[in-house]
Amino acid sequence: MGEIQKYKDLIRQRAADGDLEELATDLLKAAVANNGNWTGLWEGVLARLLELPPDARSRVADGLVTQYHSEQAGPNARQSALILLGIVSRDLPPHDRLTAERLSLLDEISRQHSFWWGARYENLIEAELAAGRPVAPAVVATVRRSALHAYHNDDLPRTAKKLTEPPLNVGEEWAEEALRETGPAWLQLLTHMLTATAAKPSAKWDKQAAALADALGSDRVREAVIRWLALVGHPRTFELERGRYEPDVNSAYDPYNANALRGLAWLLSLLPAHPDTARTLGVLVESSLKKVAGLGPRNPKVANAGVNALARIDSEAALAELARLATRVTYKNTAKLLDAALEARAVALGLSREEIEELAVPAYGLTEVGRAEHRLGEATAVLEVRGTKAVLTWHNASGKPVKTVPAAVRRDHAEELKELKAAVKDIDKMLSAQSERLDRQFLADRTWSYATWRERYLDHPLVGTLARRLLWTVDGTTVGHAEGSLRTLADEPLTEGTEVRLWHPVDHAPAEIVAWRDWLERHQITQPFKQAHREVYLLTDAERTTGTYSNRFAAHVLRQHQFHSLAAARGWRNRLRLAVDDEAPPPSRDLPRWGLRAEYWIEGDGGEDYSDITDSGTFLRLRTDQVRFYPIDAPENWAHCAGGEYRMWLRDGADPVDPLPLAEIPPLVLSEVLRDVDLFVGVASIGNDPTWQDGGADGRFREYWTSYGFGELNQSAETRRLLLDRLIPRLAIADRCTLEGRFLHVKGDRHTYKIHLGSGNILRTPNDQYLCIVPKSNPSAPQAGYLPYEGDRMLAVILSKAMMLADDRKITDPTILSQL
Amino acid sequence: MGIVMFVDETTSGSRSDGWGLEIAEERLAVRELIRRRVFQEVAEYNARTPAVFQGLVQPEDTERVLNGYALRTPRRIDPEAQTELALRAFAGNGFLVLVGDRQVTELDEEIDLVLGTEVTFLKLVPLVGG
Repeated sequence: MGEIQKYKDLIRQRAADGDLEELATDLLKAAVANNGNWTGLWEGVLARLLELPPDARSRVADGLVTQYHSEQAGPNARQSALILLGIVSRDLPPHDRLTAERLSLLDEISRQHSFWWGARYENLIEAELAAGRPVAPAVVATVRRSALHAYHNDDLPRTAKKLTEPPLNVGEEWAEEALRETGPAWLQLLTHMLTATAAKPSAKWDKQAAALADALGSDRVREAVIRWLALVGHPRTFELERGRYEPDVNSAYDPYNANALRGLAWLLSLLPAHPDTARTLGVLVESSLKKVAGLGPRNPKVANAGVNALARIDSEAALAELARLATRVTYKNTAKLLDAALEARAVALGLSREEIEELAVPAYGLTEVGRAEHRLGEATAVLEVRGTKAVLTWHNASGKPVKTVPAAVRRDHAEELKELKAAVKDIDKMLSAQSERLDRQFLADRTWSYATWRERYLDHPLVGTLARRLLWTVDGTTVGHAEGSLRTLADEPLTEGTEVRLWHPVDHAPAEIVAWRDWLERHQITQPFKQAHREVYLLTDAERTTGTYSNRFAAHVLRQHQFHSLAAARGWRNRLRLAVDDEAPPPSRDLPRWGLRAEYWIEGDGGEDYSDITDSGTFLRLRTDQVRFYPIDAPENWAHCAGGEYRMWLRDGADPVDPLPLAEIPPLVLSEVLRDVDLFVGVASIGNDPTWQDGGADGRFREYWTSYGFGELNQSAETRRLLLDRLIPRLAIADRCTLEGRFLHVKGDRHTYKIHLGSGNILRTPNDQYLCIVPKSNPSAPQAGYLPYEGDRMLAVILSKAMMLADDRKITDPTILSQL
Repeated sequence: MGIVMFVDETTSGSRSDGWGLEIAEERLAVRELIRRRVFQEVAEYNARTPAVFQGLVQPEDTERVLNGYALRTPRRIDPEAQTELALRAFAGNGFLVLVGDRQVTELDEEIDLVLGTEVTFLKLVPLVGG
């Protein structure tokens, strides 16, 4: 404080004495004292300086030039000199002071994402403008981005406003493509797009946008906008330097251009409907929600604008796109918007939310289940769904199959060809979205009337390709679709019914489940997701004892970021745990159909000295605890991010709500929830990563890793055991193998080994030395394998290891030999 | 002379329905058995050239997909080259061959093909030290 006053006084003193060159030295000293940060009370110093008459300031400027060139000046002092020079030379006659140096600093700035407003770089720009020189587009871009964060400061935004050329920031492919349109009407349109700063367009904004688009011709505008938006998310045309602790700025959107993107999305919804429009907006939403290191979703604002735009378009294609996105988007805010949009559409049509999603699935030109023929002149195109992919094949005039698109089609039917190819892509995307939606129907516990179900599922041209590969329960009888009709286990056709449900193994006896698996195999049906082979999790004795919680998946160590995205994909709500003093609710999944909420308790683990955290302070790993169930409206539990007890957060004198006894949870719900949790542990646990055998830093996870890799068998490992039991006697190495408990024992010539049936990890007996052998990640060697559907890779790994170890004299791989 | 059934068994315990191949000889070396199987599946593929090749071993320049290998560019598959790959895979434990209930390990081993002999192919994975 006293120091600031000192410099204020000094300015008056030096000016009175005429020691203006010395004043320059003092100012640089001040810059050292305040670290080049002229904000707060230091602003007063600059204000005092600006009160000096022009000729005095001109002499200060000369002094700064001298200081800049003096030998003692370091890089910081030089930078401060350049900025102070910009300030003192404001409205002085143009003068060639340190121009080259300033341009070189600006060039440096142009490679940054943004700078802090307190750095006062706007003075460099002002000096350039005063000299009558245009500012380089890349510099303009940095200044605009920085101005977005200039709190309590008017100078930087004021300078940024003066930079009107180019209308969009350079550096992004889509923007540079848009900037190639140079006509005044296009410029006006782009400028208007940048004013899309609100969450929703106002009537006035719409009116002006529509008028500007009309002037250019709406078809022309739509084509251009769709072309630009297709480039969104491409790598930057020039890279920015990524500062320390800065997110991955090269993968993020330019925040200044993002407003224009929002405007362009809104604009599309004002133009006459077109199939490309819905497609483009859908891609924009997904690409805007892609995650970027240190930032999270790239730009939710743009994603939301895409959803808003789709919601405003009254077309079947737009509704289909909304329904597809609703199954894909996990970012909460956007998911809510999608939900609201679908809900609104449902209300308008007098349907339920589920029904609207069912009706929103378009056929994409398929005329029968999974198939359509299109005649294009002489040639015929056959569009077929095979598995989860759509395939386009061609036949020439005489009906013979041809491998490539006939030349006549390319020539005479370019537009239809383009549309067909787009349909193929749409079908692929929709198939995976629908497959996920069907997978979620287990917990939705839906029933359909037979006629409705046939129309929307079994006989639907697109959904039918999935529904016909699933098992259903019609009035209590399980049926599958084979040879053109619904059939029972005994292959009796079934042609009518009243009520249909999706089949789930938990409701059926093991013998029946196995019989259905055989049935599927016999009819060579590949299921779109695990249904007949779905793992079933039944209540255990341990869980009957603990009563209200399950410890089945407790005490695991998970990779937090992997867990977080898996959880979102399976419909769980979760918050990333940061290594800060904060509390969070546990990951939880709402089950509205059952009035339940499932919780999986976790806590952050940063290591003893918090070294296991990311740059942004997020825990790399989590420790897991119980799984519990509560009534859906029970108050939330909270716990400290770094661990500690979960407590119920009670408001307005409410009573705490007890967890529900596991025995009262419907078996289907318990099974599906525990299946999710098993997936989290199975995928995200550090236990299944062989590089963790040393237990990580200081070996603190060694014990965990060992117990995971060699502990009790889970459901799938038990199945594996049964299969091996059947298989091993048939192998050449049968006399060298024995199955005992959790291990397959293999007698080699050098040693005897045991392979864990759960993890496939190997121990050498008798000393239990760990032997690290892993599947080759990208085998160049010829690989065998025809799989009727994805098999159990772990069993293949175990068998391969057994084959190799039974003949351990023949091993030549030095990475394995060194361990023997 | 008889029909030999070829069955592909997966590590999830499922079996393909199997397909029959007519074989005139009563005894055949394992090498020849593999060659006939490969020639048969390549011939079937080349006759129809679907997008996905379902066969014993992965042809060169293809991508592994569910239920087979996708060809990057549609083309005919060379049965000789494919046999070569299959024999190499057999030697390198790429797959196991069970004749009836017994595993055969030598390419030159001669096997009796009585009526209805079932030949099972079981896939394995390549390993390295970690």
